[in-house]
Amino acid sequence: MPKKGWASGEIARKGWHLDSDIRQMRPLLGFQLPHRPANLKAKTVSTSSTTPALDSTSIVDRVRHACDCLNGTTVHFDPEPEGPTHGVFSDIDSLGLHPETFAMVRSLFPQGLYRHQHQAIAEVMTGQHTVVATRTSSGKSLIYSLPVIDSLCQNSDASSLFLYPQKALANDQYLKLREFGRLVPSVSQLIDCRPYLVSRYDGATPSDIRGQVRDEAQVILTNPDMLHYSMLQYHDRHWKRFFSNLRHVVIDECHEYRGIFGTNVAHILRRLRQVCHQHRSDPTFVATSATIHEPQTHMERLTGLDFKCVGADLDGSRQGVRKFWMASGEEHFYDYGRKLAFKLAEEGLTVLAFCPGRVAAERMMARLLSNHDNELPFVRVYRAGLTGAEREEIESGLRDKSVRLVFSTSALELGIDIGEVDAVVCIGLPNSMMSLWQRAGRAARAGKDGGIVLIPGETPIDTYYANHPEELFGKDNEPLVLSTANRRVVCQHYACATAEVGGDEDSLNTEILGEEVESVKQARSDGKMDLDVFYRADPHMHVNIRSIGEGNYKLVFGREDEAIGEIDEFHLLRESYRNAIYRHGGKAYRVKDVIRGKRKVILERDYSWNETRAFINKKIKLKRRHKVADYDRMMLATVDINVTEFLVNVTEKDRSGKVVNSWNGNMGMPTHTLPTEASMIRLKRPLWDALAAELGLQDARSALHSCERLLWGLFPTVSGPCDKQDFSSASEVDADGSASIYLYDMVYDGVGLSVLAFDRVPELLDKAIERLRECGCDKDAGCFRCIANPHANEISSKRATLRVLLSLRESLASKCMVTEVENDAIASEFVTTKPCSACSTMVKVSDRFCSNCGEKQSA
Amino acid sequence: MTTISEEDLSERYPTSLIRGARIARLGERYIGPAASDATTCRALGEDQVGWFIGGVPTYDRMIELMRRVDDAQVGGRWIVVPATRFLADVAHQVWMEGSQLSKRKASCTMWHGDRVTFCVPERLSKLLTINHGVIAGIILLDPNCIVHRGRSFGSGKCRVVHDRPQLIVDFKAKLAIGRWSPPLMIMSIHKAAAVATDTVARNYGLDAMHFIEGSSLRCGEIGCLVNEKDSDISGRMANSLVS
Repeated sequence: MPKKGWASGEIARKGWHLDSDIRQMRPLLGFQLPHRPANLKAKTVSTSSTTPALDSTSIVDRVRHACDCLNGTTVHFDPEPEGPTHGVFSDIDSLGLHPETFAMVRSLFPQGLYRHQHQAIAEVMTGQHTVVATRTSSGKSLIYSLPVIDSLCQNSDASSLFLYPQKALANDQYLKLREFGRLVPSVSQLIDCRPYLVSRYDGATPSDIRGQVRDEAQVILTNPDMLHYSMLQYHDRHWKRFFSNLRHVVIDECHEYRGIFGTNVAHILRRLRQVCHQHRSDPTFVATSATIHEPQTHMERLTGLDFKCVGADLDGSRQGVRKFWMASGEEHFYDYGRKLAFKLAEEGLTVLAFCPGRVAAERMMARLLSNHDNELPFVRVYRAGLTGAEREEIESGLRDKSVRLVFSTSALELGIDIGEVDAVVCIGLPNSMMSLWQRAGRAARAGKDGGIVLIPGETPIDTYYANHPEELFGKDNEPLVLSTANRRVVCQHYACATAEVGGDEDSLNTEILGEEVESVKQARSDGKMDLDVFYRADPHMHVNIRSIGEGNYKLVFGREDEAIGEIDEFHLLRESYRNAIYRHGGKAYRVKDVIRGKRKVILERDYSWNETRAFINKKIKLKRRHKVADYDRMMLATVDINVTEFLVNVTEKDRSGKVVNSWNGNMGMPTHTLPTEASMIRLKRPLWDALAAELGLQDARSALHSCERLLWGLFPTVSGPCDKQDFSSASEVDADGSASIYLYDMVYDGVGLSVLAFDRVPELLDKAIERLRECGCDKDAGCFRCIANPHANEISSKRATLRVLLSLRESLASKCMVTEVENDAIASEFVTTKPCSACSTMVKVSDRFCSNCGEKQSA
Repeated sequence: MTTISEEDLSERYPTSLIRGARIARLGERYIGPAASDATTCRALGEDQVGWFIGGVPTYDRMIELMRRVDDAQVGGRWIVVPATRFLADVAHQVWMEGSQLSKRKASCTMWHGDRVTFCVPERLSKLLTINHGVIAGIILLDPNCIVHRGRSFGSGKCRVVHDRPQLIVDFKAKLAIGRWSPPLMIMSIHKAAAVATDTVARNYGLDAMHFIEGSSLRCGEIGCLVNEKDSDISGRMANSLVS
């Protein structure tokens, strides 16, 4: 089934190549052509680890052949290939370009621009805010580069701001932009006179040149962090010239701005607009993304501006053949994926193997290395937590083909230039449709063919899609979740915006900043909101734009405390806890100590092939109810909660799976507390008591946990597609004898995602019952596709779980009263400490023990 | 997760052999009595909470207290870990004073009493291979409270590293029954307020510590009179394995 918006009617001639056109468009499309030495035209297939000769068989056929060669392959889905598509061109006469720009474009693109490029550039040139959401490798970077260069030709003082979610992307585009500017004589002259005319300005910019960049730069490539911490904060002191001449703001990969990051960036962009207004400029916003649901709506929420959309329906780019498969083997999907990816690489293809997470990526690499005497220079691991130098080495290795197989996390989904990838293997289905299309877009770029193999994992939702693959490919992209109404974030940015207008709250431009800021301003004027956040001397330093913790921990190794990477608080508890075996770049390290105060994780090399696993418990503290649906024996509610996670056990196993070590307790690891919002399903005491009496308390508890995991796993199939990283679940038996299941947002104070479940619980329960009944496993303990939990030492029971689900479903048939609760605080949200029951010292509400006497605190 | 059974607990802690006054770390405010009975040791073992017994007057006093535990001849075996080899030597000299055995070896790193085994951290793994019955707990004798700081980490394959806290953590983990493991007690001449007990707890893999006033500590059967050292020591060493 072709993807919606594809030019499905256009069928190319077999074997058609685009090399001549692609070489002309090279600097603009942002990729390097592979160098083809003459001797690589012979048709040979080699299984050695040296670079083999390229086969004349098509890439698609070679991927198919590799799948066929692996024993026990089952193909679940084998749709027709998509494409290739011809380009649809439009002449550039009507764009009104400066003569120099016109001449440059004419010489590079004698056929004209792609239809969507023409349309988008035309909109931007008229000052219309535009979002472009065409497929990968469709020439989107030309859409924003050309107007910027043209504006420099028209006005040598014009400035432009390019915003990238990651430094690596900015670095990539910086070189291409400079190259592009050199093609236009007047811009080239400007660059000669002002070496910093086009500059990056981020954390990696050396401090000795920052002053010159501020003085000279007119095209700045940066990220939201730098925009927030430096450019907006000191706009009056250092950036007057730049902001007063600002003509364009480019937001690349705009789909990355979602969740808490997106919420913060939404406020930052509004503050940017306020600053521009102060400096009397009115820039045009240009946004791009390859995979996005309702791009117009997303950009309007992100910026507060009206946007025109140039979408996939106007896409006129040339694309190669793209072929999907969904396949699995008899062995574990990790092993099947690893073998398939390696086989493809051995065939001479460049392969990206996307893994479920960092740990999985490292394990794949480690397993391959162990099977090949640690000698695989063309295989690497790519993920967050690597140093910049390591990442650049892998990226350039992919470009020059010295690296042919990369086990990666979602870190490589974004458009960093890594050359042409022949095949993508997704080991475990991606968390979201957006992620799936981003990954698929890595192959079949710029007219080249590509193959994508999806290997379903052993989870309820992967199994569901393995059985219903047409549903997967028929799905739309997920709506991007961000909420400018997150009160904590609003207050922080209110304080920053106030500082940016000289400290006078009356000068705040609430029309630009938004109604949430207006309501805070109103509350402040009425004397109702007097929090510390508004009185800080340096409010910008207290905003954590990206993550939900207090900052990252450095991973250090060796005598000189050499930092090999970083890890955030959330992953600290899951990957680099005390005694963990932590893998980095294929090497194994033992975590010896985690020093909270210095934010350091001390590592030591480990030479075993063991693996460790952490078992984490959660405690839920209910703070407030909002909307309540009260049934006879159960209750549904949207609630505010605190989720505190802590380590309870670490288990180490050898390669045979035998437990060699097991450490109980927290091991001194910091707990992780997240205040957020959730949908709650509460089994009232009579229902819970009845289930406990029928099933036995232990089985009932275990069934409760199984229900929780099932509902969490199937949530995306019911509420609409969503990114699995943005929500989680918990369940517990409460002190009052009831039991509760929570689906909550994985974001500070929530972003309105999990509360969607409130209205869809009946459907969710039906799906869960269906999954359980249809699962092919014959044991009552279930399997990973239904209720078995690899992350806990707990025996599950399908019979008991089904009983609980059916009880919930029956309870929903009873009468219900729905109420909106105002100001119903279970406990005041501002209480953060309480007295210890033993020594009366004040302890944090989230602490499990008193630090002054060691007394265990009640929940 | 499973845990220790009531029977097993009763076997290890038929009576409270170690008792003292529990205090708050800062201000040394009295909280209540602390005793190594079955209920307390269950909680300590399941919650990964240790005892920090600070303010014990002397190292000799520590050894004397251990002797009283041994004299009681009830309950599980207590593993006493002198912080260093030197302290182990001193402990051995004191323990064996008057015994002919003491003249045979210049130093010793592991020896057994009826209910107490002394062992340096480096030899704890060897204890796991010896059948010594049920273990009641681990008592670290660290008068200056420095062992927790002695963690060096290797950066190369062949470098010898010393990480005594990890040896104790691993030993304790090996004795676990489900989510329970024998409690760890640390004795020091320094009071809790003078020690970074958070760091101590973290290094020993403990989630928290209870603080016991060292001068109030009593060991052995309840009602035992405070005696001077008994000169007849050799009769106690029925299963002596001096090494």
